[in-house]
Amino acid sequence: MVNAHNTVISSRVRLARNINGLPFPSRLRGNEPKLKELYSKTKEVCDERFKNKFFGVSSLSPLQLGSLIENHLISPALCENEFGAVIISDDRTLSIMLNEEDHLREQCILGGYRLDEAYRTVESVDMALRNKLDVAFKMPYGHLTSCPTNLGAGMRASVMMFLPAMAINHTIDLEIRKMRERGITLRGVYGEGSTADGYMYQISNQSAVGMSEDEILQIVKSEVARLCELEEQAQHSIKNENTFDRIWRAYGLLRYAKQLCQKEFADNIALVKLGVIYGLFDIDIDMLNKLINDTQKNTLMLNERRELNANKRDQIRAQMINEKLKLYRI
Amino acid sequence: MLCERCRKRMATTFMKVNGCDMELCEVCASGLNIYSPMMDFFDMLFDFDDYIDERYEERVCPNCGLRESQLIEGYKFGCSKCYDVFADKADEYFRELRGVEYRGRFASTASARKHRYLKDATKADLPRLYEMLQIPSIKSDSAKTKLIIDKIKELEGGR
Repeated sequence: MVNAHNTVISSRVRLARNINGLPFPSRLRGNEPKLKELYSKTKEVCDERFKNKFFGVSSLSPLQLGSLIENHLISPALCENEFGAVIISDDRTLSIMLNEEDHLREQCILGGYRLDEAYRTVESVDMALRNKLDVAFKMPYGHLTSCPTNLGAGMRASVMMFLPAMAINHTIDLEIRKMRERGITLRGVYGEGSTADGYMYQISNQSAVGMSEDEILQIVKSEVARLCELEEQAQHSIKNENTFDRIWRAYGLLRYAKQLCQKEFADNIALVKLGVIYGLFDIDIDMLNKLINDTQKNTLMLNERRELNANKRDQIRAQMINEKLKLYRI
Repeated sequence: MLCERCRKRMATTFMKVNGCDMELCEVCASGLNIYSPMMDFFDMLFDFDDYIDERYEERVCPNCGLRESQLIEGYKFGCSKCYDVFADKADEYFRELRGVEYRGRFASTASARKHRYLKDATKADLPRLYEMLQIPSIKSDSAKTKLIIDKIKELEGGR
C-alpha cells in the first residue's frame, strides 16, 4: 500500500448542529434572544477548552476572509451571512462556524491521515456545547439541519488526498463516477476531475442520513484505503522515462522560473512531489505542501501584508520555491 | 379593470360598499360575502394564476415564516419547528435519502426513547397512549398529538 504520509494530506471532520426554535441562519432577523445565547455560550465553551480567537464575518477584510477560506477554516457560504462568525483555535486545528448554513458547524482539521483523532477532538467540543445549548434533535431523523442531506449524525468526514498518477492516467474520472454511486464524493480541491490543480482531491461522505458516526468514518476510511491502493497501481503503471522527464522539467521550472501562476505552480510542485515518491529527489514533502498553502492568492498577500497584482504574486511565488529548492542538493 | 379594493386582481363584479359603487375582484368580493358563481368564470378568463393561488392555502411555519413553496423550491428547512409543520415533507425527503432511524450518538436520549416507545407500542399500550393525549404539553403540540392518534388508529385498526 502507498505510504499514507505521501497520499493523505489532511483529515477533517465537521458536525452540523442547530438550536431548537431559533430560525436557521438564512432566516435569522438578528433580534432573537437565542441568537445572542448562541454566540455567548459557544464562546464560553470554546474558552474553557482551547485558546481561540472570535471573528465576526463583518469585522474581517476580504483578504482575511479569502485566506481563511483557502486554509479551509471557513467556507465561502459563511461570508454570505451578516450574522456569520467563526471561532478558531490558536493552533488552527479547530474552527467553529456560527450561522453558516446551520447554526453551528464544528470542525477539526488535522494534517496527515488522522480521521479518528479529528473526530474525537470535535466530538469532545460537541459534547461540551450540547451541555450548554438546546440542540435540535428529533427521532427518527437525528440532528435537525437546514438541508435534509445533513440529517442524522450531521457529520461529514473528509480526507484530502494527493492522487497524481490516477489523474495523469485519467483513472480518477471513472473513480469519481463509481464513488458517487456508492454515496461518496470525490472532487478536486482546486478544479474538477483529472484537471484538478496540483492533483489534490477531497473524499467525503455525501449524506449523513441513517448512518452512525462510526459507520461514516468506516466508509470513508475504506474508500481512502482503496484509493491508496489504486494510486499505487497507477504510480507503477506510469513509472517510465516519459514521466521522469516531466518530473525533471517540473523541477527545473520551479527551481529557476521567475514568475509562476498558481495553477502552474501547483501542477509542477505536484510532479516534484511525485518525483520524491519515486525516489528521484530527497525533498521534504510537508514543506512542499505548506508552500502550496502559503502561496495561494489571499494567504500570500496577507503574509506580505499588502495587496499585490497578479504579476507580483507570480514573482513572489516563484521566488519562494526557488529559494526553498536551492536548499536541497539534487 | 383592476379591483378597486386590492388593485391587484381583475375586477369581476359590481357592488355597493358603504353606499359607494365598486368594481371588485372575486377575492375581495367573497371577503365581503357577495361572491357570485359567475366570478369563477371571469377568473378563469382573466386571471387563472390568481384563481389558483388564492384558493390554495399554503402552509407557513409560524416560528420562522417559511412557506411550503419555499421549502419545495429551496430544499431547505427554516427552523427546527419546520420539521413538525411540514412533517410529511420531512418524511418524504427522509425516505428519498434512504433514511433509516437514527443510530448515532444520543440515540439513547429521552426523546429517542419516547420515539421508540411510540414506534414499538402494542395494543397493551393503548390505555397509556390515551393518557398521553391528556398531557398538556402534548395537547398543545398538534404534531405530537397527530403521531399518537395515528398510532392509536393503527393499533385499533388491527383489532
